[in-house]
Amino acid sequence: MGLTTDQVGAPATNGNHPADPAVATVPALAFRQVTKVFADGTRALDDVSLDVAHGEMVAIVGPSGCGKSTLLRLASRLAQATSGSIDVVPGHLGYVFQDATLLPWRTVQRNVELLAELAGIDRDERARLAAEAIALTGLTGFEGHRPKTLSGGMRMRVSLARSLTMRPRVFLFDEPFGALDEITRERLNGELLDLFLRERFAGVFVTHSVVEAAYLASRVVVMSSRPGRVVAEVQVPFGYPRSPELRFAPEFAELAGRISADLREASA
Amino acid sequence: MTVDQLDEPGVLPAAGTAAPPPPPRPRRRWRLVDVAAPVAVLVLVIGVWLLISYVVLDATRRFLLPPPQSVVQVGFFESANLTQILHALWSTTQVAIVGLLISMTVGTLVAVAMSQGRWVESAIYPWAVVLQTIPILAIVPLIGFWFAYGFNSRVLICVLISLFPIITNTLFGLKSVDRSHHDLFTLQRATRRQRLLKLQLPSALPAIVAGWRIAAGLSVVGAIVGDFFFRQGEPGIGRLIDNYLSALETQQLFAAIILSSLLGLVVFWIFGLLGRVLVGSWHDSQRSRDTE
Repeated sequence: MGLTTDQVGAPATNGNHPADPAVATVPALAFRQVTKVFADGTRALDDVSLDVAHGEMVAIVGPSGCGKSTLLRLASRLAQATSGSIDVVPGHLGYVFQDATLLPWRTVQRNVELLAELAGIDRDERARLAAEAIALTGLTGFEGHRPKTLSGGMRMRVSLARSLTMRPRVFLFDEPFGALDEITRERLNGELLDLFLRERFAGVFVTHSVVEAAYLASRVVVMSSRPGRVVAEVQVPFGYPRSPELRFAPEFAELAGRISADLREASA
Repeated sequence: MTVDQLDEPGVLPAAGTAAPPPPPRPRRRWRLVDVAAPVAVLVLVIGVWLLISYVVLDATRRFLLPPPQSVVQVGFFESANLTQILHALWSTTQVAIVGLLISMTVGTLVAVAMSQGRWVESAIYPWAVVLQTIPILAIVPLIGFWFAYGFNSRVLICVLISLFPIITNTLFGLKSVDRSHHDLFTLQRATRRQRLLKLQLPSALPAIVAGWRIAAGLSVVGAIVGDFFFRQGEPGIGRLIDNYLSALETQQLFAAIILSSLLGLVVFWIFGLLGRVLVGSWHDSQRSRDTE
């Protein structure tokens, strides 16, 4: 069943977005010569231009402090660019933070419902949206748990589920799995790809990990340290769906090596 | 694996997740030393008390510190005395409760107002500090002069003395919400009201309850201070203590002091319990304060 059209912020579609060539030509997210200078004079971003097409997953890698997170904050209007323009397709913008930012006094169910609740969606509908998102993220059975009793990986799933309830057209990920152990991280990478293929949002995934970037993205953008600039863009030649074994393929190693070299150059 | 870990409710691993079981909740274990040590101190204190009553003081001066068993016998087992003390204590407790409830209401409202606008905070905060720095004893006579020497004046003292910690704790709690949580609400274009009710107030709850706890203790102090000064209406415990002292009825005096202290303890305990009930299951600061 499709969502009703009077919901604030939720697109009036049911998640199956047919490939529409007319839409595909307009990027879902476009940075045009964006510069950000903080109040203390720090140049965080310098002349960054970047397009993200509908249904495309772009990973951004770069050394610490290269303004990767700032880029996401600008895209979501949590911060204002000093110059340049940023265009985002209308509709809900998903944002997954470095930590899960769950409300500790709420159960998993009520945490997942939060955004829908803030958007004024009625109780029954948001319970339905939450149930769907909870099932998609493998949280079934944990609805009554509080965040404190969950592991880091489970908390991130709750955070993902919370954004999924709003069916984002553009989904920003700010190093969501950076604090997790490698096994959990790889598993969540796989789950994220499943969600990506199902929902077909435009994704921007910021990470420190070259392997994570190459595994998830169709394009990897390498940024230099402060001020952040785009120094390289690497197309990832592998199609979706991807299997976890891809990480051990020689072509994958070669690609990761190339991105790594770009990254070393950018950090120098 | 200890017993403590075994009786934690287990988390069923969901299919296809890497979630390890949650870390076992650190649970307070009752060890003998936790009970024995305070009891040893109590025994020591009573020993010193007995020593002073019987060895240091001769029979003519023993009224200065009557031995504990005579305090218990006269103060607690002579029912006329006990009734009188409990009656006065209840009268004081009523004043403290009403004063505390008013403080909690006014203090929370003031703190919420201060959290909503920088200028409100700038306007009110210095005066809240001034209120706190006024030596309460200095204005007690004035309060009596203006508002008569009865119930209302006593309540007002309780409010004046307990308001500040409620304002500061609540305000601190409302303002210490994580930036990322604020970002989350900003992204969803939450209204001011949603932000206050769904984020700031629940997040501030541990600090708010801590403020209540401090204020409750102060309110009891305020009520007893009021008793000393205001002598209209039912006598409170403060006035009774004063009377016992004047009459040199020191067994009753000590009994009254011990029961007043118990009142303070009960208040502290009630608010500790309230804190655990309201925020115990989810908040870190509550947990660490319990295990300290």
